[in-house]
Amino acid sequence: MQNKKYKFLYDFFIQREGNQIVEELMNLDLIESGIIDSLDILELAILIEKNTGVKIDLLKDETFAAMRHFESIIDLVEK
Amino acid sequence: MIHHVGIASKELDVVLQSLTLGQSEIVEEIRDDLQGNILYFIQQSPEKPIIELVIPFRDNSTVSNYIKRYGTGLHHIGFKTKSLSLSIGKHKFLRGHFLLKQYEIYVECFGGMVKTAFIYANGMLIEYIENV
Repeated sequence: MQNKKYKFLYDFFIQREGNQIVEELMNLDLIESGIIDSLDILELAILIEKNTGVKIDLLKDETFAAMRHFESIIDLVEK
Repeated sequence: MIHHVGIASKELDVVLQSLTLGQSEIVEEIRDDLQGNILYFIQQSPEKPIIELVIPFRDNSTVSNYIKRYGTGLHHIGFKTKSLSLSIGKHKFLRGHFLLKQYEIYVECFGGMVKTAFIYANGMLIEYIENV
């Protein structure tokens, strides 16, 4: 079930990987599986700031770690 | 005033050919093990911006993904600053601006040891350098 608040995040991954990604998102290591790379992390940070006003600190190690999983990206925004 | 421009490419010869420059015009070469790149510097005259050619030597270098996505191209614009922290601070609260990296590196043609910061600013990559 998609959280409407984070539709923009689902859309980001759907645009790249297709609709089936929604089912798999929660179980994937997004970096390990090659779905996102360093430029995508920046793109996600821009998207998050644009949609939520939350500015992501890209210098922090925990930001990079959080970007590995969909749930932890949401946690990062919720902090 | 622009201090230097950084151009990323998979191969040195390709980018030199694009710029119609020769290897003899390279004034300095640095292997940056931390970023995974070999940097080649060209300074045609003291009044002109330095050209920094950034060539990755490993897959996870800081420019590898950029090159995979965009090919050879202008990667960043470099500015000298008297205060790196002040320059970074000007971007801190601006929308679409993100501090990406900070480190120190020795570059002879930049005046020796420099502190550097890369900032993504609404589609542009800006590098600030401050002499240490």
